[in-house]
Amino acid sequence: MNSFTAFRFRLFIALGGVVLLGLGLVGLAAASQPAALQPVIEISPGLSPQLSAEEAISIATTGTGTNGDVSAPLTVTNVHVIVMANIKEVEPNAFVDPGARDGIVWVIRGTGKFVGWRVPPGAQPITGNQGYVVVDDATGQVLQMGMP
Amino acid sequence: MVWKLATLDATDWSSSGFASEVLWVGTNSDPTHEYPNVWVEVGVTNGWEGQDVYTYYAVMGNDDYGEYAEGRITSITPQVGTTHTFSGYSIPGPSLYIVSVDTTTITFSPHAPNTMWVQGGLESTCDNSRVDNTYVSSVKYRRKSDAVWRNATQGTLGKIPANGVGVVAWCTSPTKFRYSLHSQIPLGCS
Repeated sequence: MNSFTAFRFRLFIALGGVVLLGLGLVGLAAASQPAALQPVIEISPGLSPQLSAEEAISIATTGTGTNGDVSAPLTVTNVHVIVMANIKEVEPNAFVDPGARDGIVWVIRGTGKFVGWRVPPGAQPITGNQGYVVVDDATGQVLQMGMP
Repeated sequence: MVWKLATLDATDWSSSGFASEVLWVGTNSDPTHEYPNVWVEVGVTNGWEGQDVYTYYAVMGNDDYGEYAEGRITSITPQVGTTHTFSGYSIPGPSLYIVSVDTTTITFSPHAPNTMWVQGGLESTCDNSRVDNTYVSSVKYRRKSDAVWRNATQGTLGKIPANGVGVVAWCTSPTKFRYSLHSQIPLGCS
């Protein structure tokens, strides 16, 4: 075995070790992961929402899921429960409804196919693969939608 | 722009369709591609996120950056037959734009001045939705050079160029909105 062949052999062994180590880690990760990742839910101090997280997420995922604005299954990544007045702290593109500043809202962010249909004449709908849905805690209605 | 709210009936509201009276204002966040993909808008709609409601709403979008936000304005309630002033304008500050219904204002950012264009019209996602004639009693803009309010004395009535599925119309004063139709939502209108 010349030196070049020996180098290639050692490299092969080394790479094989990395692959085996990687497979082992994947196996450990698969064994320790839950079936589905749960979204992070943050409720601002002092707020007592009426809706449960499951209800709010259901409204965001099924309430808009068949409607066109979120036309693919929404995978929720995180959820904030805040008052409307603070909505820009979590979603800068959202806006504060001035007469509902004290209302509690669920800001539900996720991935999926988002479509903005309300565009100027001649423009094409705006699409994105991530976005947010704002659900009113008091009424359970979808108030806002946006992306990215 | 001042108009009397008309009856709107989106037959496809359950699939997130809508019939709306709209003021669109083109902003200048991207001078190289400002029309028609960078804008703010305000109006009244029937049909909202799969709900059969008649509500004020506001939208901002910048297609170049994939930014879009739409929301109901729930602090005021529209009534058919009442007359209201709809506005869109920039204000000093870090690229702020305001849209308003009478004295109720919504602030969007970032959207830079100048105002590039203005349009008003009807917008519907289904061609069998009801969109009554909407009478516009005032269409004004403030001229930048001297800050004088001017009556809009000319406008366009034209087909939507991209796909030819509808037309948008306005605006000599006084006049009435006509009909605008965007691409139908793929799930279809009822």
